[in-house]
Amino acid sequence: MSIKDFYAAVGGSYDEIMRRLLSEERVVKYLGKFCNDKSYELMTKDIAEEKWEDAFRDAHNLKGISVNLGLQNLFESSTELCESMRNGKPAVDIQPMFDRVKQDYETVVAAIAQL
Amino acid sequence: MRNKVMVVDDMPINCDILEEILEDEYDVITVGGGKLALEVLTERHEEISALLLDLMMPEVDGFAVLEFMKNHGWMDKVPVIIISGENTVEAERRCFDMGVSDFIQKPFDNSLVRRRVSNVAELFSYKNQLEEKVAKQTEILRKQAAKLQKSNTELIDILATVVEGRNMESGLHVKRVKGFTRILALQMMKDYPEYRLTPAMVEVIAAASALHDVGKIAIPDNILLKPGKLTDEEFACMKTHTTRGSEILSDIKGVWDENYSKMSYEICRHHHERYDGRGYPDGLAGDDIPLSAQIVGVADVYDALVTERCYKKPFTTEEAFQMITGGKCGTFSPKLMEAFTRARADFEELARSRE
Repeated sequence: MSIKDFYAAVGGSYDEIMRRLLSEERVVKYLGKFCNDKSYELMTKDIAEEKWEDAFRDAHNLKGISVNLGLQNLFESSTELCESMRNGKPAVDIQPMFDRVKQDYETVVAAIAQL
Repeated sequence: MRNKVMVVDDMPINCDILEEILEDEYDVITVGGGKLALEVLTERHEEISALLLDLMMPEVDGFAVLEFMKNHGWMDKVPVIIISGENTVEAERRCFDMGVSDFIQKPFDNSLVRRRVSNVAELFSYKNQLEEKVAKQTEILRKQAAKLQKSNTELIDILATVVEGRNMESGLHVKRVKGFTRILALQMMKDYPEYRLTPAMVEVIAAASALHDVGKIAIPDNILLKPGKLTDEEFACMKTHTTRGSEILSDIKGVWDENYSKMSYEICRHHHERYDGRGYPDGLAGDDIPLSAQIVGVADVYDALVTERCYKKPFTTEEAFQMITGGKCGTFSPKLMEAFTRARADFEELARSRE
């Protein structure tokens, strides 16, 4: 899969990421590191255990990496989920938001595997 | 030498991206957490030209790092750029309150990161150099001012010595009276706070004491240098050295500061007054006599007693002490006599040292 196609699949902009990080080599390298990042896993666990402060921080981290790597869809869904946990236990049911994040995350991981 | 950039973020990917952006221009130190950041800062804060700091980190977060830096006074020396995705208004305000220089938003852009870092790093480098320069210049100025002060004092002493030289006194007399004045004034400062003397004032009084007999320049030789007792007429003339001296001094304007002018005038005019009002020229009594003049009065008498003059041989320090406290050489204030008694050892040490 080419980088251009990758970004089409994850809802990001190829031009934007190239302007910011300058080389495809770098982009590929960081995408590789993305898979080693544990923020998604930790967030899932912390939500299940209702550790809202930790979950908020994990979601915040996930959102940060996503935006840095131009993973637009994942960025948007994780931002929404993150904000819902800003003040501790969410006021609404977060399952739909979480599902969106899960879907976007899995899309990204699958696409990275094809690079 | 500040040439390192420190990046503090608990997300390795963020550290990596920033390191790669900056490594061409700087030596980059990456740190994965707040606690470690504090350790590295403690050791190497003088090498760091900019700190890129995440806010959200477990245990020791960005704000704790800022607090630590503030307490050590490093926020003035090391510019901090916040690299957090946490860009609420409260967070920004809080950061600026703590002295943060700038924010780098996510997503990281290669050229923006480089520009922002170089902007603050250059600014602080310039600021730090300037502060160092100013400190050095201030020190030079301070030294020069002290030298000038010393010069002035020496000139005045030389002038006083020249005047005293006419009646065969040496520069030593001027220095000794200064010394005795200083000793007694310091004792008065210590024992009687109601007079509100300060160490600075003591120095002015001592310096001004040099000119106490400047009026003798106006006294003719035949009276000034007469070895025997003066006639009433001659004594009346001699007494005018107080008024003539203070006239001379009051004509000198614009050279000395107000305090010094006032002190030297007072001392010159009133150092022969007596506590019981029977002194000259104005017959002032008690504490109407300016304290500076009272002090110099004692110092002058003491020096006259313990040194040889053209009209007498010196007395011993014991005799001099008894004569002054016994009221044989003019009357002085009881408080002054108490202070003089307490300072006796210092007086006698100075008296001996000229031998």
